[in-house]
Amino acid sequence: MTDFPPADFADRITRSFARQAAMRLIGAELTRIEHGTVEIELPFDEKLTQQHGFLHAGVISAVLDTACGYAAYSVIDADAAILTIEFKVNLMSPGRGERFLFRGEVTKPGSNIIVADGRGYAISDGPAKLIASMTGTMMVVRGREDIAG
Amino acid sequence: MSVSLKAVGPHRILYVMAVDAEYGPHLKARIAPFMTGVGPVEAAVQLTLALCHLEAEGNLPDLVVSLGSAGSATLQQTGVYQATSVSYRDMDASLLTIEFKVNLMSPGRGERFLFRGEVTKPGSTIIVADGRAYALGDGPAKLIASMTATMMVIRGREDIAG
Repeated sequence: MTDFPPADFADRITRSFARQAAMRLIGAELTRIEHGTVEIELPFDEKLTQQHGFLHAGVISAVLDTACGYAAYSVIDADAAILTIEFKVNLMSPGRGERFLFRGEVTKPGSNIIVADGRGYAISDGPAKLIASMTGTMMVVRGREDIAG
Repeated sequence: MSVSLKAVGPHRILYVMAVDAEYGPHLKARIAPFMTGVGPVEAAVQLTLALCHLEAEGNLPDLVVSLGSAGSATLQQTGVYQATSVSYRDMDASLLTIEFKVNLMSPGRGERFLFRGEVTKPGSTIIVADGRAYALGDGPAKLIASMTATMMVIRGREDIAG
């Protein structure tokens, strides 16, 4: 982990997020970027549900993975990139809510491997409800022209 | 109740099926099955009733042949099987995923992708399934990801069906 936040990491994350067509497709918004922590919010949409009307586990995983990936990206050198190599998801409650908040945090920074944890919350009238968690392993990729940012 | 037996060689056979949707023109040209409806309870009740009628007429079949999947997703198609045991399976249960682990082996690059899910351990409450994903292009299929997942069988919740 860089002791000091790498220069312009928030701008690089914002630009990189804008290139993620999948996040644009589902309507996800980047709402918080800090050194080691990234939050993404997603309004509920019927197009994102599974057969029971809950937010699909694949959508939950995709946003958690993106939050964890950018949390990792916020602690690496500007010329390196991040690829997820594995993750484990626990689905604690059905994905029911008006909005969803997904937070990714770096648990173990490293020069080659970064471990990040994510949590997903459903937000309605009452208190936020924890619906899912992720532990992901990210690989720091350097010197590959096809993988940047 | 109309139940008719068909003579095949020296045997008199009662053919049984679940629904008309499975009863196509080739079968219609050959047999007139007794229809039970879908599900183990429906099949047991209807078939028992039919056999009682036949017994009362002194007309029991030598053999009962059921055409269908017998509720199995794994029996080979067109095979002939003799039932040795019967188990009850809920027709109204549904599934929720409770956790999964994904390994991403290669970047998801390809023209098409194939995702295969298979049950590794069936169970009445918990089912473990494994999945693999392949990228398809000009060359051989490339393994890009794998998953091991745990599913929970849900019963009796009106908001979760199918």
